[in-house]
Amino acid sequence: MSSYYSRSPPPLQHPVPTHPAFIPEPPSTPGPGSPPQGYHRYQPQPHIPDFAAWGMNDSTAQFGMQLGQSAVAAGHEYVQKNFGGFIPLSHLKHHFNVSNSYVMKKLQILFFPWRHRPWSRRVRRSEAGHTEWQPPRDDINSPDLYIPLMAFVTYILISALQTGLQDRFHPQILGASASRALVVLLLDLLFVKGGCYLLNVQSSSQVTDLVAYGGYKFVGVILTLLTGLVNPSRTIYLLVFSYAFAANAFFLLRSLRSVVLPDLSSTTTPVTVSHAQRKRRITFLFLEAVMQVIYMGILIRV
Amino acid sequence: MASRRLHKLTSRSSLEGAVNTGGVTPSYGGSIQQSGGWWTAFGTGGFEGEPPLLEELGINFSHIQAKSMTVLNPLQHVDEHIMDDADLAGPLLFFFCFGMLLLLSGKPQFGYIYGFGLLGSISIYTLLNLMSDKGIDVYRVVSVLGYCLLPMVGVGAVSVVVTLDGVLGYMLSILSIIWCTYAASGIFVAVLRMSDQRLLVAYPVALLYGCFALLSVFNVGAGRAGVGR
Repeated sequence: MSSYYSRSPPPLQHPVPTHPAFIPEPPSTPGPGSPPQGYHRYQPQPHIPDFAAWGMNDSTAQFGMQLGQSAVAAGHEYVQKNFGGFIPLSHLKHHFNVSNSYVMKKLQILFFPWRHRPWSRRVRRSEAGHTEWQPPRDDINSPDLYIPLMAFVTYILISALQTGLQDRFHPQILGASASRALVVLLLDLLFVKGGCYLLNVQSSSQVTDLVAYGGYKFVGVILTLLTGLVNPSRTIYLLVFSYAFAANAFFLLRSLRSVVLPDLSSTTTPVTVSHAQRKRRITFLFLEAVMQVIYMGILIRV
Repeated sequence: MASRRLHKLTSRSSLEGAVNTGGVTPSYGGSIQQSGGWWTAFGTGGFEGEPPLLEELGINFSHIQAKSMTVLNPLQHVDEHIMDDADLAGPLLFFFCFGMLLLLSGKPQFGYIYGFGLLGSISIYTLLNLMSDKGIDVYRVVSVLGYCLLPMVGVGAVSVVVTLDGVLGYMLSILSIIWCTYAASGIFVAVLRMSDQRLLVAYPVALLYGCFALLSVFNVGAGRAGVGR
């Protein structure tokens, strides 16, 4: 409840209050001793109905309301304590800290990754001792969650539009394509995480980074679906799909390279891998990039 | 008559009795003192010190009009504090008008309007809180989205007379989506003091208003496909 009040709007620009009026002093003051106590106990709470007229003692009503409020506060605290740590909010906010120019440039890279030069992420100034990645605003190579989220929603809407144009729209198409997309994302994430675990990759990235990398494939899928909407010939459609797959695979190869393969130039990781290990990791990367064609093929089958 | 007067006397004395004996627990928690029982609300006398009805409900017509003018004229500079009072009366009125106009044009889709509005508002609320440094509460988001629906209500009024399922209708709908999105993203960026993120706010808002435009152009029936005809 207190958080609501800390975010409540500042004093209004028009003189009319939008909440019920608080009149601190009742028109007929009761007894000699009670005005100071009346002020003492005045709390800014919403309008309490006059229970005395209903036959209930008002102090009981007050007590009941206090009990209710403390119960709500306790429940809120319980949820915060047990479930607040699952989705670290500040970490999520880091991935949404994007700007217009970042999104434009990132989309350019997603559609044409061949000429992009440095793929390494930039490290930020160390506050309180630990180094962290720069936010997407400042670092074009940092994965964000805005583009994957928007691409996911756009994919659902475009698949609904396509079914509508083919005269087979039904509201359950929205749920079906949403769950199909989520399952594909989950499979991709499990594959990458499982591969990293089996190959003993030390610096496996955060889950949100991997979800972001997995979500970038929706951009290529949307491009393919959009060309499908204008009803081109089969070869053009397949050509666009192959280009989208190739661009996505190349993008993933370059981005995951810094995750899976140790960066030999960085000074923070003293870990060295043997030649056989390195070959195995490169094979894993290629496998992951090739699997994208399966995922994208599932996604374009609306 | 006599029994009512007797009842009033006893109720009043019971009030005073509670106050006089309970010096530790006062019976007034800051609410308006009601000198009668609850039935005086239905009478013509009213309570002492009662504010006028519109003021108590928080409906201020001049303010609603000022905010609507801001939406209809998006080229002017948006004041940061214009949406501070988060009033929901205007948006409710606009949503209701939108639904009624669609009903008059043969498309009763109140359920879809409610569903899209609720889902879209919650999504935009989550996204804006993740994207900006300064948070926003959900009532303000609903208020802004409701006010910026006004151009689409205008297009809905047109759809009563002329069907929108043609090239002119498509143009008009796209224009209204652009207008609504421009106004809404301008207000959000001004209120949340976001830098360089207007297009990023505009895209999901445009998707939401696109859904509303789909409702007003096509007849979204359950099962029967009306899209694309």
